[in-house]
Amino acid sequence: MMRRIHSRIDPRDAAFLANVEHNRALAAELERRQHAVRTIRPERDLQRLERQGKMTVRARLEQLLDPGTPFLELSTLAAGETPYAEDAPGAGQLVGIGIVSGKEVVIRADDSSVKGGAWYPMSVKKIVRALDIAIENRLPVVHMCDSAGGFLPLQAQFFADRYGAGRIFRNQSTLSKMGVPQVALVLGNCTAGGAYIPALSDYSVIVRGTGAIFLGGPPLVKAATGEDVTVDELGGADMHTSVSGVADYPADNELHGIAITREIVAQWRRQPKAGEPAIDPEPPAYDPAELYGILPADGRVQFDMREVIARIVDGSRFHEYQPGYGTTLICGYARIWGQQVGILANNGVLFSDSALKGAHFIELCDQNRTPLLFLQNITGFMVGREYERRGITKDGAKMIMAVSGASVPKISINCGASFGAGTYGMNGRAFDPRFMFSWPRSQVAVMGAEQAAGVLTTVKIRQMEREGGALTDEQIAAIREPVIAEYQRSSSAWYATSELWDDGVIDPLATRETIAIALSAALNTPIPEPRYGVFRM
Amino acid sequence: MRHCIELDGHDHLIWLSRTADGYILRFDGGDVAISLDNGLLRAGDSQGPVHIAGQGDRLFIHWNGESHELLFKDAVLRHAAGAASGSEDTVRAPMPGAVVGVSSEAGQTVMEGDILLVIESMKLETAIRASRDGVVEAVHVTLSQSFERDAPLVTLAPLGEDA
Amino acid sequence: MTKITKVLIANRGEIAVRILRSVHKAGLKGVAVHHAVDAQTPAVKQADTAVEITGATPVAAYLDGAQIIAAAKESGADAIHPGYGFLSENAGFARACEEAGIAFIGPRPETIDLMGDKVRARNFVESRGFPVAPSAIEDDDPATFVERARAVGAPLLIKPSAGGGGKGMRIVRDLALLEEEIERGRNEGQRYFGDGRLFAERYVERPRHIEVQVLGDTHGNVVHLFERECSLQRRFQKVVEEAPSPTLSADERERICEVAAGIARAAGYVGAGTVEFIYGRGEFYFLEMNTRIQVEHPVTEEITGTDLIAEQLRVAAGEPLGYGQDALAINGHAIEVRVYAEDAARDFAPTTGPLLTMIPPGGAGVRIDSGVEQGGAVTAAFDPMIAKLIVHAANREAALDKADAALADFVILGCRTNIAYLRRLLADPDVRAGAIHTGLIGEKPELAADPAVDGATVRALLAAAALSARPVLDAANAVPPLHAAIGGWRN
Repeated sequence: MMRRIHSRIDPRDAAFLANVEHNRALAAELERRQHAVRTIRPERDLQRLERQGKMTVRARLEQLLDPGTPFLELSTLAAGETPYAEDAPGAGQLVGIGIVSGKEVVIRADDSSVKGGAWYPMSVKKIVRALDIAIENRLPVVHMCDSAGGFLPLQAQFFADRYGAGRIFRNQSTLSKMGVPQVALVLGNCTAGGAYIPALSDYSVIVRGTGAIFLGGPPLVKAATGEDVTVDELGGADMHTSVSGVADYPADNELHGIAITREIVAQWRRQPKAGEPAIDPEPPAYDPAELYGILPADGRVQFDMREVIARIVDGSRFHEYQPGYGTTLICGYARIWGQQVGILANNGVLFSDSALKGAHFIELCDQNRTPLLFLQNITGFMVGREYERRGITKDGAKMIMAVSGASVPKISINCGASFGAGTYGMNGRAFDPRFMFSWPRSQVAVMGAEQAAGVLTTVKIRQMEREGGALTDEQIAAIREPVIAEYQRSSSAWYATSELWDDGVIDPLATRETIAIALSAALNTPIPEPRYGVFRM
Repeated sequence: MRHCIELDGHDHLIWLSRTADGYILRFDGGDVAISLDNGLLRAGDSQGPVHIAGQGDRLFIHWNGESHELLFKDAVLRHAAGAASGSEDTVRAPMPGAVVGVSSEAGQTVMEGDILLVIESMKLETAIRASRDGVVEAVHVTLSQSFERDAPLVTLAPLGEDA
Repeated sequence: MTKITKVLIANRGEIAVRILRSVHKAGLKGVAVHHAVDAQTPAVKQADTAVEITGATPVAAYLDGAQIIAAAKESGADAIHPGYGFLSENAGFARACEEAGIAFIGPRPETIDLMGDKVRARNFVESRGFPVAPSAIEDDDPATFVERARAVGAPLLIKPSAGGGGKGMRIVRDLALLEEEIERGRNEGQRYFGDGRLFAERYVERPRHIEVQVLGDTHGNVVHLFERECSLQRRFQKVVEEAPSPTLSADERERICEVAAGIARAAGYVGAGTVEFIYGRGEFYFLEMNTRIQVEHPVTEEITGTDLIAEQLRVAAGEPLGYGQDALAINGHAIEVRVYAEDAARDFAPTTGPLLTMIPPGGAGVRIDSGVEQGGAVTAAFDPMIAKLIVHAANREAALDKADAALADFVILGCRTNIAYLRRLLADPDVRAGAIHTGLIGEKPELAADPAVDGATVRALLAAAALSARPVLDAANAVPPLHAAIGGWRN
């Protein structure tokens, strides 16, 4: 019942071809970074795992999942731009949404291949975020525990704060209270705080020989009480499953443990989905691979977001709302893998009319119980005397009020730029999108790099001029260039994802499936009745 | 984790995936579209009548003029070490009490359910049985000895390699 | 004329069902005796009356003549058909029936006695001028048995005098081993028949087993119903039987059939019987005479259009045959294969199991004689024959093709059978060419091995298993449709 978007691209155009080359290189860079984080490990670490009879965390994951089902990995490149990136690939955590025994679950696994799976600051942030996702989307959790515990030298960065390590256990308790089950499969050490992960899980499985749970390991016990005790006696599988009751099921080996875990998950009830039921999916009419040619190599060049929508949604069909009004914000309905979404996509700077249109459309979707998809490419709201006089700030406030108040699940993709108040209006991280992903080309910051560099260098130049007179162009450039470079680094997608400002960098060609899986996960939570704050009229 | 089906002495790891109009079999030979309607089996480019009968985990299939026997192997049992049950090696006291009968000794081969000991606790006699097939490695208590809860009573070793 | 109205079948399984069919066709009532283990079998269900018999073992129940005669009296049966095996060649039982005033459907007890003793039977046949193999009989002079046996020359076949069914038979190719083999044969004879007496005869290398069906009435008429060839045997147990023999010339056929009819005539034979011969290099020797209906009788029925059980009933009632040899002719070719519950690849070890599915093949020229049905089971209590598959076609080649097609269509699930083996055997070039002999099966052990399952079959079987094993199907159906549709995608 919806028309196809009419694409206007010319795949033979020189700019298109140049874009393809640029975006392919970006996708290759993403692939290179992910490959390094996922699989490249020092030989001696792999040998150690083999000696211990342990599989790699990726091998465990593949055994845990239902074969032939998708796995949406989240925050793969977390901690990638931190000083400890090498010691904690992916923050030492594997997190994602997958299918285990037919159930949509969050899988969270310690990667013990480097530094014994020690928790770094970003590890804690990633775990907390994984459990927040579970809470927000009512997704059961499978923990695969194999961690030496918190990395002591950096404890000040991950322990005491509101979202510190304690939040992991608070979230686990919250999930249980909500009736969302968790199972912990103990494949290695669960020491100190880590011991509470299986203890706070509704179910736990522990592998004989390698799995161990204790508050203090044998050396700590020896130091504290002088008692000599083996790992097995202190917290082994048999002790915990027959004496202490800390764990529920003993397993003879990792595969046995995974088989038992899968059987446990198979028992869990299935929640009815919220919202409009999905219909049979239809692939886009236009090849999604053409996205590479559509996205400009130069990030400052504008592009028609309809061309993107046409390569993400079912049949490239789109029902556009208010096609002739507020045209810098495209609004409309479409389906992705059969699931209905309301899309808000930037086609230029936000004006008053586009902000009003956006706020109205958000309310329409909320009334209709339609999840929202924000395709961000926004440098901000229009500035200038005329616009201020017309009250662009209160119109922007309406849009922010609508975004904040919407009851339906919201998903954001940063397709290019996400700057300033535009980030707010377009459902940035602070607005609790259920999921937030970035394309490799995207940037997120208070303002664009050139603009910001201008402001930052102007301050510096004035100061220097006051002290030492006029500066040459070379001197100005020498001040300006490092400022721009640092600003660009800290507003890049790699940096954003390293800091968990998103849930991962995705290849534009993976967008359709990423959104489909995220939407399906989001619809596990019933949608509350619409209710908003006061819209400034 | 794939399912395991034994055929002709070989374990095949398979998985079945639903599609909009049927199923896909994923197995060691690749992925193939399959369907079964009213006794007509399609598997890739082969199709024909099939007869299937199951008994427990055994599957008997008549296809293309020949009958075959297949065995579905449960994942938990398949991956458990040694004995099928995966239960613990040491039988522990379920409650404090005293031994009133010893009916096993080290080296003895026992079957699951065999009585190893009889204990008395709270004026009730309880038979302590073997949790699986195995060989008694050690009997940790003697007649009329009293013990606490969780005290090890009997340790079982797995049966020999060919068991 | 003996009036027969109700026939008790002192047997079980396929032959009991087969006999009941002709009993009912003749308008008579049928009584089944059965051990408790057979209570749910088709024979019992199809009988007009069923009487349970007991015994220390199920087999013992069917061998308890007194109990069976009592059952006949109790149920008002006026005739007993013994089938094959069990009491069928027990002269004492035949006499006891007569004494009880019940017609025994078979030859006179004296004939059973005569033919039941290999040595007497051989002497009888030889004395009437029919061909027998050069031999040495222990009883003639036990002291010189070994020398006389040696004089017959190698190869030599040693058999228990009281034997049958191939049990205790030993082939001696090296006369140095003669005494040793005699001792073994004696021990086996003692063990199987309680009688260690032996005889030795010339062994025909690569012999063919050819037997002739005969039929005599109480009025002195004897006809033959041509020959059957049962050369495909395993350890003296017949596996495939056919009629007519693919090897005999018209002349040979006439000679051998006439010899058989002559022997029956000389013995005053009444009822259906079979004269077995060893045939090799154009020569044939009398082997033995079976005084009962044979397992493989259907192939004769198919090529002659005769109902042998019906003929047995008519003869027992005192009716004359009413036709002569001229009325009988061979029409086409018939083959019977015995479908056994056995594992060819494990040295033909008997198997047991439930008959979860049993769908016999059908169509023109395809006949199944079976005593079990879907829902039943093959147990260790009796021999493991599930069914006899008999095909009839215009010629041998067509019959072999039809047998193969019918075997392929024969669905038996729950219990391993020899069907695949039978198909391989029938497809063997020597078997196709009719170049068969009693040692053929033993010479081709490779036919018994299970061939590796080919890739396309593995794929189809795993597909069928996946779609019918509940854990597999349930796991597939548990995956949300969206995720199943997206498949093994990774970001």
